[in-house]
Amino acid sequence: MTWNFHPLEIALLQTLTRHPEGILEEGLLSGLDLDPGQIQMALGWLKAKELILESVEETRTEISLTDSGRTAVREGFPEEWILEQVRTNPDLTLDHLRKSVADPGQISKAIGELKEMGVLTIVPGGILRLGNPMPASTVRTFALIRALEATSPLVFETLSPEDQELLGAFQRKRGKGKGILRFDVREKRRIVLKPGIIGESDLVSQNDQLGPVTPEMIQSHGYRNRTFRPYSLNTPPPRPQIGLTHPYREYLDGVRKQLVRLGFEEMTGTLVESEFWNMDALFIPQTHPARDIHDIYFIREPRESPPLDPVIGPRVRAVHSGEGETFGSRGWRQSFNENQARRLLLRSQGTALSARTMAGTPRIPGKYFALARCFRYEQVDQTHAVDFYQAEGIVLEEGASFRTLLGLLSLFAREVAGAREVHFKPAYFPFTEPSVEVHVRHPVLGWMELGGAGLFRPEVLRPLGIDVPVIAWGLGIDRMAMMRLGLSDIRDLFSGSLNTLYEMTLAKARSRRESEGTL
Amino acid sequence: MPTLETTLKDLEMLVGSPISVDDLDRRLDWVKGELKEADPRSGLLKIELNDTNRPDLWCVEGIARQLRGGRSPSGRPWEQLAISPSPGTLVVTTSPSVQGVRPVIGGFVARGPQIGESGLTQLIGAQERLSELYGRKRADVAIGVYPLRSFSFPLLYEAVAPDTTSFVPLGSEAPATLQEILRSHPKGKIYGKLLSGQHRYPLLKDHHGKILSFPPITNARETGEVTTQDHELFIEATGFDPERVRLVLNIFAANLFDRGFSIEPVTVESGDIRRTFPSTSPSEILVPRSLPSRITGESIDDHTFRQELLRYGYDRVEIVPEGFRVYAPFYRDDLLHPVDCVEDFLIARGYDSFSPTLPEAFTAGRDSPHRAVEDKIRELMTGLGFQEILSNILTSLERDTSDLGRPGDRTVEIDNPVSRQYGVVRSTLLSFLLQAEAQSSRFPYPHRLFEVGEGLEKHPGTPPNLREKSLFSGLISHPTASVSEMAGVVLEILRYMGWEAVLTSHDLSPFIPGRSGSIMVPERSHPIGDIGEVHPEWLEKWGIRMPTVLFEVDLSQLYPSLFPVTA
Repeated sequence: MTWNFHPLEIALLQTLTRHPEGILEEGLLSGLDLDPGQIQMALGWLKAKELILESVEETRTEISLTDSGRTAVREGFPEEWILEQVRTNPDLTLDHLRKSVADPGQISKAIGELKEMGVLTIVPGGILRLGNPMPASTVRTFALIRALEATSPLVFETLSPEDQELLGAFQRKRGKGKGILRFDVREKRRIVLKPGIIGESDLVSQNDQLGPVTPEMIQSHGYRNRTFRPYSLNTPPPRPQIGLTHPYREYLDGVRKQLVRLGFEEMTGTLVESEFWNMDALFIPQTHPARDIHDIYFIREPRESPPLDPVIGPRVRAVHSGEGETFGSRGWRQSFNENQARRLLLRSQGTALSARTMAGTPRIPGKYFALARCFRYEQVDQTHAVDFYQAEGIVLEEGASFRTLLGLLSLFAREVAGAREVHFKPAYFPFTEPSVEVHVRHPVLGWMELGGAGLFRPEVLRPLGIDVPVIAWGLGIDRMAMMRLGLSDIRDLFSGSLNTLYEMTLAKARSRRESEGTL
Repeated sequence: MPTLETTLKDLEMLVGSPISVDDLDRRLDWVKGELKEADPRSGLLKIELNDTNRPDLWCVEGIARQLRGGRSPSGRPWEQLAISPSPGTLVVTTSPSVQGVRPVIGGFVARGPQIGESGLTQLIGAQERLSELYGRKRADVAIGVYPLRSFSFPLLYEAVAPDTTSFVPLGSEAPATLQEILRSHPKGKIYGKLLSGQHRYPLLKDHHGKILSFPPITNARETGEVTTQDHELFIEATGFDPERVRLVLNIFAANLFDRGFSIEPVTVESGDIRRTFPSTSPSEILVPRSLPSRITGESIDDHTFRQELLRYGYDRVEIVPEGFRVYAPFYRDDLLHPVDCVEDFLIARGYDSFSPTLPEAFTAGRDSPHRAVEDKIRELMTGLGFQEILSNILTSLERDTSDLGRPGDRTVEIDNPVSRQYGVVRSTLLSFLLQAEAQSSRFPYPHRLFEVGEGLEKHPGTPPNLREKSLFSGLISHPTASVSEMAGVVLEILRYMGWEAVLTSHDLSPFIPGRSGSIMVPERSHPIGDIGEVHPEWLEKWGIRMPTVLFEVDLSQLYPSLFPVTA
């Protein structure tokens, strides 16, 4: 067999031949007049050619502070900060403490730990009280971490067994995510040339062969009558960076394309809406729990929209109060408060866009959709996000009926969710009657809700000046997207971490391979 | 949405036949219910009810009744409910003093078998759900439940001065005035605000002066709590709207009737007005003849429509020349419009029994022009090797302002945030790009990120104006990243969008003075965006160790007609 080596490989092989017992990686680095990156690259090539063996001589663990660790050392640990707050304010409640910081999750966690150690107790009314002093082990742990600021990194193996235990326990407890400490395992590696494969003759410098093609070489015809050094194609090439759309956005783009293909026109609107368009025009009674201060986000300033539309406003008031022209409805028989209708909020449902479209000059027959960012009043956790996307839309058509509604939902189930089995479940929405929830059977997860729909009530349509039946539909796309992107935490949909994005992109590629033809 | 707990045994007893847990979820379609949990060992069921307009279904008795097609689980016809043994004996007199305080009261007496454990659990559960949700935390309707053994009719409902009357409230040992109860009793603390601004408080007592309760706050200890052995009960409800009070009492009367009780109506006299509760007269509504066919999309014959409604528990359906005169059972008050009856018809026949059909008209689909601009930009940016990110719209005030060294006067705050972490609507995407960069230090460099999305800002005025923006922002981070590299990107992208932009120097945080500027186009007098190299001091604050440059353009300045204007 003839070998064709790169000059770097030849340099490395010559050194290794002189040391049949092997050579430490760091010795190799200092022994050759080459850039460490180049040496690593050449070692990689030789490894790929299976010419060398690597063995780990010794490992040691270096501890250093992470960025959040440095912050903690500078600003004090959350536990210490909490105790300081409790010391200076004896009436401090848990609730108050949580509200006063940017990251309540971190505070809750630290309080949990303090309670567990008996350093803090919570008395009725949520008031925090000091208990035992901080345990010596915790004090020592914090001191060790503080010491890291001056001497970093610290070799873990040089610490006393007690200290090793303390730092180890601390790291386990904190978890890896937002860790304060970083543990890097460093290995001392010995590299040995496999005997009997490479001969002297293989290492003769092949300097007469040509390396890279250069513009000068082409112009001067310097390549004539000479040979090019062959390049190895099995060595892993550098990975290029690809500019990609965000996987969730790409998913939404797919849904959008699908809907446009089915004849829907896109609606867009503003994040801030008045209660009138978000609620009243949709016949949601002013006393409905969904309009509670704990269910929608109000804007602090300005607080109110301009006065209601002089034509539509009074018509909506009539169907709510049940007084005046009610289009055959009894109404909610409640007084209608215009100030409440004018309050500004963050859009809580995409249906607000449908209401505005109907109040404008919609095409009849017409089909509309929106992929609208909506806001939900919830503590953020694995399954709840503060803002999320909703796919919403309407179909205005003379003769549209309950059967058309079912037809449309079956179409969505097939075209958007790729589902074969569908079940229609009676549902309740204040603005549609009849109302339906569509459930589809997922091959792995079983039955799940795909969305809700219905025929708009006359109390919604007539005040907006619409006199054809209108189908209203909404699909829960964030859940479908999570399934497609292989996510179990909804917060990852809006993560900016390039690692998370990369994982999502790969999951999506796999999923696309597995289910050809659907979104 | 209301959720109730019951046992399979109780539900089977009321429905009158064995129930398989496997098909229970589908059977609950009839009541718009969803089986949330079923514990096979204890037989405990958790059912979520989705119809917020049918409080009669928020009780296991109501669910069983609906599943039986409106027939009472007691097996007795509804005509037997509310037969007064000797009219005129059960009376509540309303004093004029309750006008403007809490004017309406109603009630009835139920005699029967021992209420038992499930009966009592369900009675208390229904009381809580109806007063919290339908009664809006007792503001509209509050409900009281009493054993009949400890007081006697007639009763007096009046409003008295807060500090002259005292009694021992439920759960206490010592007497307290009404004022003190609002201050120190647990229920007083929760519901006391319902009486704020009143100079007199409602009180219900019997003809010996014995106090039954202080509506809508608490019962008296002396009249006691209902126990599982009780078989004679008095149920009372107070509020403002006689229709709401009537519905609540009708539902409770139906529930107790379903459990074998006999119901004795109570007459309420207020001046010349006499009302009797419960009232079993049905409400009626006229459904136009063509409506069922129009809504369903298939031809529905009169007979089928009538039969299905009767099967679903309607009292009576008369076919008249104009259509159908439909009589709804006395425990329902949710029929606002004839379409509501048609939905009941659809549910009774079963949604899956209708064959789906597609919309007939051809319509042309299209993206919004706004989206088309964003898409073009996204295409150009990914072509340049930029990775798109997607961020939350809500953020914290610090993130949006001080973390970028910028003032907060334009940031739009939420009046009632869940937490400060999500307390404002973003006015810029830059903080999200920096955060993404800070989280990605282990990912191979160079990093090129961008985002296109909404932002919001307020402009001074009385009241201030809101302006929604369409932001297009980017970040480059690598060992030799510089403002000129980013400038090249921005100017080239804008050129491909048809705009010849120029940069003018302008110092702005968080950028290095002398290395930041405004992005201008000749057609606009104001800058359309900013660009700059982030100052290392700010990079350190964000935990970024790589040279980083940023830009942000407001597309709504370039395309004002494409982007919606806030209400």
